[in-house]
Amino acid sequence: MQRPSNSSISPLLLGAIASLLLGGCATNLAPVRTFAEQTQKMSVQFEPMLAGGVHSCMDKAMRKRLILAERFDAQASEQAARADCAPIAQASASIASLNDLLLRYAHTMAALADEKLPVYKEEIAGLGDALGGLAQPGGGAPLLDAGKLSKVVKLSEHLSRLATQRLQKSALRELLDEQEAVDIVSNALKEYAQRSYRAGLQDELRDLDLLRGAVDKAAPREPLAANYIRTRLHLEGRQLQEREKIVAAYVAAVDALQASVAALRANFDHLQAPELERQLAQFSRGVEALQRQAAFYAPARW
Amino acid sequence: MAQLTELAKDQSYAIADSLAQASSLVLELRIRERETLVPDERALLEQYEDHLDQMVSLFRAYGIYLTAEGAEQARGDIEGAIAKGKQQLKRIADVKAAIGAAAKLVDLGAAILSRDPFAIGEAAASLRAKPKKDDQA
Repeated sequence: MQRPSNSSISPLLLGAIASLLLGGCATNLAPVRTFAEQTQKMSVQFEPMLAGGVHSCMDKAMRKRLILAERFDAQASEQAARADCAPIAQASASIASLNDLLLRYAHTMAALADEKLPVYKEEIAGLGDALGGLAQPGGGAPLLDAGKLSKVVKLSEHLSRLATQRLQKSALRELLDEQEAVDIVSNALKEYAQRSYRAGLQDELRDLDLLRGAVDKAAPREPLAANYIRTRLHLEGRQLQEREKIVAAYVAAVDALQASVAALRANFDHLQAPELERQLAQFSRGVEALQRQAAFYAPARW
Repeated sequence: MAQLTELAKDQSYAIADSLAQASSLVLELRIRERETLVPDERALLEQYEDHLDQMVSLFRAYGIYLTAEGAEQARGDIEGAIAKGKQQLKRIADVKAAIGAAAKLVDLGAAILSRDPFAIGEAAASLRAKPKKDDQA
């Protein structure tokens, strides 16, 4: 373990490499984190739509039976409605897993863009302490003097940071390269929202108008019950319209998500590009609008 | 094949929508003619609506199923990219753990050089311990 007291690497060279690395490795992955965060929020706001689609189907059946059934039995009606709507509930499971996939995609991206990932201070400090404790055999004088030790520690830290950032960037690039697959999956979610969830709401709204007419006819005979049900139908109609707007907000958010993946991919080597910043701001606004509208999700229960 | 699925999907959704509209028309008839129809006739109309609504649910479910089916290949691609991303995260964690382990090895080397049995024991124990906790110490 005997070493020459002057190392073969000159302190000057060490310093030069260290300062070079310092300048070259400033990677700010904040835009990737913004994208991942908004995508996660979007996915969370989509989820209630799946149960909502089944509720829509059940509410439509229950509403009709309550107001017009020849022989109304609440429990039997609920069971029948549940059985009739079961195919939609079953098919929705596959859509739920696509939404979950998008969520995990965003989670992985957020973990890879974590700013603490390329920080090795703690680990390298431990190594520095250990190296500092090494003494030359016999003499007891330290093997590395303080100046040299600090340069070794700095260099190790920068090299580790650089290597990690390279790993982060290559993994993130691979995730972004799945742009087409992300488009396909998010289009499937959009399609569910428009062709199934919204269609269910429109069915409900159409029947609601007809049922209102039926209640009006019964009003002279049973004014109190008629008023009560009219109020319920009014509130439900208003909420159904608000729930339809969730679909529009979701579609807009998906469009912004797809444009954001494209922008991130195009600007991956200059993540501070203004057009990327603008695109991500638009995505964030879209998700915010979706979150606000999502307050109207919960269907009015019978 | 993909085109056929696309056609089937659009048709499924469209058929579901048409059946739902048909169910509404029967409902309208049942409400309009409520006073003139006998109870059995009203019950029959209600049954028609129930059947139509069941078909709506089936066709819509089939459309949803085909929507998800169309994204199967894409799902596999994204799963692959996620798995690779997780592998990279593990590699980074491994490098951090390795640096921590290296520090402990250096401690052990120093202790052996110092010929201090107590220090050797301590350094060896630290090497055996779980890396995370020892890094803090």
